[in-house]
Amino acid sequence: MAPANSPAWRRAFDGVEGRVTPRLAATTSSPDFQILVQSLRQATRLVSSPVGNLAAWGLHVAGLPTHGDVRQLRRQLGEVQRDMSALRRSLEAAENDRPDST
Amino acid sequence: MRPLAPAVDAAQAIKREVWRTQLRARRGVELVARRPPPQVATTPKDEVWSLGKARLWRYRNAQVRQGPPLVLMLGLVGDSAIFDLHPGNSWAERLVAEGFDVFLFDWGAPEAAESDHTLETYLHGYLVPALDAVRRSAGAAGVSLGSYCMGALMALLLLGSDSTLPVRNLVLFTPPCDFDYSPAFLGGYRDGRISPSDAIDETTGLVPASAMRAMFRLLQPTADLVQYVTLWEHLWRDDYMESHRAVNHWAWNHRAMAGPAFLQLTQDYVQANALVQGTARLAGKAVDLARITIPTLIVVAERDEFVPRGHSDPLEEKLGSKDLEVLRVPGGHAGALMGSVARRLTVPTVVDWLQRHAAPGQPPTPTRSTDADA
Repeated sequence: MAPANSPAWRRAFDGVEGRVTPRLAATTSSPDFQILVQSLRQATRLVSSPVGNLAAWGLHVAGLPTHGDVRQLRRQLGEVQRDMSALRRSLEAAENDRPDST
Repeated sequence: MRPLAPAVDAAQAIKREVWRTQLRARRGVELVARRPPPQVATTPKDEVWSLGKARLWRYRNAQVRQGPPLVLMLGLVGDSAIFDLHPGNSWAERLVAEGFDVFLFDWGAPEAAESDHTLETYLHGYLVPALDAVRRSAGAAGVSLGSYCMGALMALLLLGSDSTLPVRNLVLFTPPCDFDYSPAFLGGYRDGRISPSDAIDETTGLVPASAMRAMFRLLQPTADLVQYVTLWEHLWRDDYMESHRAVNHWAWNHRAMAGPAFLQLTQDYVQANALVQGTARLAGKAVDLARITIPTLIVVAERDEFVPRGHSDPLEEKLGSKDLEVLRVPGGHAGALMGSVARRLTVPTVVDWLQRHAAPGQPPTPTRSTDADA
């Protein structure tokens, strides 16, 4: 809320915003709204999936990588990063456990 | 008697507003054209420890007069910059000036490599070694820990499951505890109508930062608009743009969260309310809040939109500390830590509490709940 010495346009904005926001927030933060958004997202995925498959087939015919291929690569890269990270943690733990470590 | 006075005043007001609007337009163009990075976290500090993406910094202070060293930390989804936002609005700057040896711990932004991380990985794998690093760097036997929001919940889990940790004092900023008081946007998760696993991205194994941001936006759908209007209103002021951009950078700079940690938080705490029910466990060990007997200060924001005050209230009864104080701040979740209320009330009270608990071996007069309603 703007202080009393704010310009008139700001006070007018705050008047409207103060009335609209609580109602809007009550709607958008309600579980029903979130479930609706989630359902819409699932429906979009369902519709776009066959289109994506067709596009992927076309790209593969042309010898080009698809979005799915990139995702697969990212997943594999993530697994390598995880292994490296676990190795590094074990190494550092072993370093710290050494009797001469400070 | 000046019959023309109202007309003169009106003309002056119009002239002033035209001048300010010219300045706003010029600075607005500059802001859009240059997009300079926000100046956050400018208090001088050095990295003293790191593991994976987690980092520990120590603020430079040639005149440390207060002990034990103080470690500041946040939860997994926020940027630790809130503790060093902007010169003049920085916890780190103020605490260093008061003679504290201040450390800042940051979990880092996770990527696919961290997608298997649980709360145990974060707490035992990163925070405990970081606390050891603080003790080594400062040559201290124990530390004070200041943690905000989800970071406070994580500190409670760690200290409630292990009373041998070298934490001597605890400051909990807006700590979540009783998830029966969760804001409405968590309602779908609470009643099980939304599956938390749906939020996890298959490829990375993370809940994306954009999803975290969207979750918070649901609670404040007009926040962006209000923020731009506020920026426009104050853009003519010399000192406003930098502080606005620093605050804005922090407020919307959410991080992704590792899927397993997110599932633990939603299933065990948001849904099962494990901390209040007494069923919380960390690495197989029961979390018992009564085990936390160190001096504790709880900072509660009276108008907290994310952690409503009822969330933190059970801690007064459940914590085992006999030296427990509660500071109630008349502000919102972020406002309790930054801005005018923080400068006027939160920072001075926390500094005073830390000073009173600074000298080891001289226990302060035990007090239980000191309300500071302003």
